Amino acid sequence: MSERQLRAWQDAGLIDAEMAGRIREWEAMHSRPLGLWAIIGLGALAIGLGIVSVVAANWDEIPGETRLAIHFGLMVGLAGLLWRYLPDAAEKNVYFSDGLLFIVAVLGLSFFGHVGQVYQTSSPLWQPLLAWLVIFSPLLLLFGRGWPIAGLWLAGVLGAAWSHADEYGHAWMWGQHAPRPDHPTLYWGLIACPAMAVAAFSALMRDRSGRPGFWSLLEKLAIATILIGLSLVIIAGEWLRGTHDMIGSAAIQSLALIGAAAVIHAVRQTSSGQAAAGLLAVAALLNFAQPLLYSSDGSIRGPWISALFFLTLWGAVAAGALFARWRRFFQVAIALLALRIIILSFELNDDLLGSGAGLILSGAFAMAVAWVTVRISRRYAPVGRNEG
Amino acid sequence: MKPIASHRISLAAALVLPLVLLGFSWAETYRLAQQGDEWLIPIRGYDPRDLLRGHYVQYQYDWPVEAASSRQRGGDAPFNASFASQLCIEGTAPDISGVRELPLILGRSDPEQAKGCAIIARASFGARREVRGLNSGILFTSQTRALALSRQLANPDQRGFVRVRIRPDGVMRPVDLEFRPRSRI
Repeated sequence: MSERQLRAWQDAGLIDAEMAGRIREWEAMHSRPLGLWAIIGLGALAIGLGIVSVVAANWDEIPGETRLAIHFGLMVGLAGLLWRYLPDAAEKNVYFSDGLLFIVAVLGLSFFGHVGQVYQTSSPLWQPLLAWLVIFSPLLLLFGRGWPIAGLWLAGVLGAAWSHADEYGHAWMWGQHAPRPDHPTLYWGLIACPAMAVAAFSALMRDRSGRPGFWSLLEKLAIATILIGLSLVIIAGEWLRGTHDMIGSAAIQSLALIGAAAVIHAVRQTSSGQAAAGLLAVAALLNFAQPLLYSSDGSIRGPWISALFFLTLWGAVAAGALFARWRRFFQVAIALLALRIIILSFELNDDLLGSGAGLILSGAFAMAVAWVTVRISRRYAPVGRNEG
Repeated sequence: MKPIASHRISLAAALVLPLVLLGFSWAETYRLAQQGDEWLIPIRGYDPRDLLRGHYVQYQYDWPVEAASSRQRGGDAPFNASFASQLCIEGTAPDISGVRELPLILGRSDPEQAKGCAIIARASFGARREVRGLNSGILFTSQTRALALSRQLANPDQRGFVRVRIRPDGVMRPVDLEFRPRSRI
């Protein structure tokens, strides 16, 4: 809140001196010194990394079990700190309570690696990630408040699924010892579903929890993950040639998307909830239609297919954002649409590119798209509201 | 809003759960690490440029496979540790006198063939890629030591051995790397 603006409003007679004073007082009480917190956070990060480096540099001198005991002691100490201060801290400053939770959770994750180093045991990455998720989810989901914890937890979920799939993804490199999924269609369908489950679960929890903001954040992050993932699948679509039944896997994923859409539609009757459900339904349709189209007829090929699917997806995002008045989402969607149209114009002019006419046409088209994009974004971008 | 008391209880439970399970995982790893005898297995290093990845040394087992036993199995194919699922180790710990591959039939080994084995090492499937199978393993160590070890492994006058602890169930766990002068021919 700028002082100059307050004074201008006061001079214009919009607010009186008393109200301006009250606004100043309220702002002073509720202002978050973000810059200060950022510096404190960076300082803490530097100190933490420094301690890790000092320990790592001298670890021959410190017996492994002593190191583990120190690591464990740190976690116990922080847990005590959380037990004592978390309920008060959470009321006062979201970043402080989330920061403490974040440190405990990361210490817990690195403990798995530390035990592995001391006792020379190795396990594939997904095992400690999954174990970490199981034992830390209650703490993170019951007491997390802001984006650091929402982001960390979702990253844990996606990381566990990704690293599990990665074990099978490299099967061709490791001879007969490489495990293969028993039911590839089912496996490759289900492994992509955690984001859908998180979106539905967050929508369910939103009204049942004392922290609707946290669950709303988690739901948005999950939906953004789905949109980004589907965009990548659409872009890579033409080259995706699995050894398994792609249509079957896509059907499983689309069913999960429909399920998530149904849950969100049922529990959130707001325009924002309806838009999110609609988006997921469109995503389900596109996700299933693409492999169907590619496998049905070998002659249907061309840059326009992938472009059409991409434009449909992000067009739906823009429409949903307009309906639900998500300003930021709308602008991102419009920008991506414009970018894809420009790329398409170059792709379709492939044979003309050599000639100047193709270049001129493409350039003119790109400029027209940019102009229209800016007009649409200015004219129709919804006024952001306080989502919650 | 939930009553404060139940809030505190769930916080305590959520804090204690990871601590107890992490402590249990540590204790269990410690217990498993104590089992079995130590054996010395000859190794050869990878190309020294590939030896060091982060703070660990990667090595390849150089199993002293009896030539006769592999020929006896009828194949001319040389022994390849990547494809072996279990190895019969003969000798007295920690010195290996000979190694032969034990074929698996319907997931079980023939008790006749397993006769005379001091211990049977089994390929671990649930491990990370570098240690999958009986072909290669890694030893975590500090950065300075890893550099020294990789130099020693590259030295042709020395033969490297990995000291491993093999549990009765056949799971191998590296303990340390050792070097002995190579006998000149």
